[in-house]
Amino acid sequence: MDGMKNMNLRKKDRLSSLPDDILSVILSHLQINSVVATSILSRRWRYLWTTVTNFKFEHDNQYLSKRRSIKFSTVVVNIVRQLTSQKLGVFKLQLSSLSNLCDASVADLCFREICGRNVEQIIIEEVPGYNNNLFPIPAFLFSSQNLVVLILRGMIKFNLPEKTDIQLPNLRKISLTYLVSVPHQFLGSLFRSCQRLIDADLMFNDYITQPEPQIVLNISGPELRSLQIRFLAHLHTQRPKILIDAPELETLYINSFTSDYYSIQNPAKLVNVSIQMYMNEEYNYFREEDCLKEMFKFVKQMSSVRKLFLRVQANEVTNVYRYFNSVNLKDMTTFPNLERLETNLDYDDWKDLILSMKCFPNLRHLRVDINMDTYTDAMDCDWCVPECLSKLKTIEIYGVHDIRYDLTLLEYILSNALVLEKLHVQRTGLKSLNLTDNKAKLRYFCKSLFQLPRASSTCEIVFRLRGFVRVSSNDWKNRKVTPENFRVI
Amino acid sequence: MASTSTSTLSRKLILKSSDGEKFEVDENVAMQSQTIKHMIEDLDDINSPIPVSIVTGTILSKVIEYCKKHATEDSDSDEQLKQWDKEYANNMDLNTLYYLLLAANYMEIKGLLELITQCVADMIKGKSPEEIRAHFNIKNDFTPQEEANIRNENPWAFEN
Repeated sequence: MDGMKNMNLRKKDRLSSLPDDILSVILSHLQINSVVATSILSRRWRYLWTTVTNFKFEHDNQYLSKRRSIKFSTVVVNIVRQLTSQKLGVFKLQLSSLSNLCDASVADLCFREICGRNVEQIIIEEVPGYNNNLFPIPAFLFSSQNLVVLILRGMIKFNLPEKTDIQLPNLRKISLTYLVSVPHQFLGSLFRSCQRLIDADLMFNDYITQPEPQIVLNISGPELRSLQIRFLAHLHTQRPKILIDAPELETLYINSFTSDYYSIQNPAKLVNVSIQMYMNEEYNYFREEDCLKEMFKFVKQMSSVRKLFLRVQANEVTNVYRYFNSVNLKDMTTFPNLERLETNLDYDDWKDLILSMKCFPNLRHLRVDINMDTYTDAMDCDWCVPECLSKLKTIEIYGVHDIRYDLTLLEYILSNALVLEKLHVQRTGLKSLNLTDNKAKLRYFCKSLFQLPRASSTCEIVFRLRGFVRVSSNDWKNRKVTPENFRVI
Repeated sequence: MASTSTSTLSRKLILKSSDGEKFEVDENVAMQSQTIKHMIEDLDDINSPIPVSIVTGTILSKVIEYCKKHATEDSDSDEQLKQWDKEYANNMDLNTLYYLLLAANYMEIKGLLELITQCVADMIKGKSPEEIRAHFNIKNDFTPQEEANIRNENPWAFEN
């Protein structure tokens, strides 16, 4: 077959005989360096490269060396200028350093060239994106009417006048990572101007460094399906309010310090929600309690959610579940679709979690990370048996370290979970297995764990000590593992 | 190959290749070609064969195979369709690819043009200019000096 091909081709160079427009489409699939390199193939190919409608300089797996990145950043404007097409589909740059493009006048020229060609997708990524070079984005980028995708990753600084005219009627996806000192009014008007937006991902490097005025971020999107908001700032001096008005929202990811979120309408289509809140030790004049309460009010509205990831890191309070219990059941929203819950807890919070499970009647998978260094004096498991514990299929508990209390808790779970298929228990806190004492303790714990009475006879218990031990109750039963002979990984 | 069990509601069209071969296809299959779509709009008699003047029967049958696969929307997932596309393109020899390109371009079938141009681009990808010339039998008609001059215009493009 290969021989045949070669026979046919030896006679004729069919590729070069294709019309210009087809060759241009072929070249538009290639990286810009490969595109430019075709200029030396033959006279036929001398200027074909200038007709491409995509400009891509990216690397599949590893990123470019810093040296090549810097070098490329000095020629990029020159290459774009040579392109003859008045339409640009994709402009994509992935560099390890934007270097020369961080010069405001160079960035300006570059964006002027690509925006002047009615570009549809701009993807510029500096990886790693967190460094000292500020990438200046000119205001006119925000009036690129044909823009559909805008992804910028680096330390992004907008060069915006007081009133920026935003016209991005076709924008569907925006991702801005490490926003630096973005003007407060700007984001609100951005969302107002991008009514067709489907996917938004914003990551703030420093947003809230002023106590006044109160920051209110209005996020509105009639077609918005996915929203991610992440705050990096350690210098919070106020609690910004984030108002979300997105009736079609399906995925919400929030990673923030103390900011309050509000839904304007009930987000009836939410499926995946991830909320991670970090309270800041240095700025503890926000009452953590207040922050949690606001968060609870926000979560309470998400009754359609199927998968919920809820994590709070604070000095004093982490337990959001007691709010679920404090509300009268009559008034309480339940989460009938919730199948998977991942959360973190103090030992003391277990009771609240178990009791609040009446709000999650169809929960199938539960993962709990027990907070480090939270001891309790006693754990009495004198709780009612909630309906959903009897429907749980898998439970994962990470971070057990106090044997006696853990066993009390695990016993409660095992004796009430009627259809449990798998219980994962992961222990932390042991640095090394070399100590005979620790080994003996572990053996004892495993033995006790595997002997606990189970309401679900087919339930497998897997005990893990990360990096060292993985023992399954099935192996134990089949005598593949004897108490004296741990499988050490 | 020719028989399809699609609903009787769908109208049939007859496509005629440059070498006179006739193909009866469902209207929704043929309509993936913008060119044919426009031709039908101007056509008085839907039953007369539609000439696809520059495409031979061999190539046209392959084009129709692609269009049939992509006309049935719900049967396959995106992933399955991608896999099918990949196998479809990989089974073509270079000669067929060239004629398919011309056909997809002439018939304005965006998906097919995209698929085959990507396939050819993958053959260029990762090759040095010398290797590309060898693979596609491109005759270098530059003098060494001319070639050196062009290289010097964009030296970065030739570095690895």
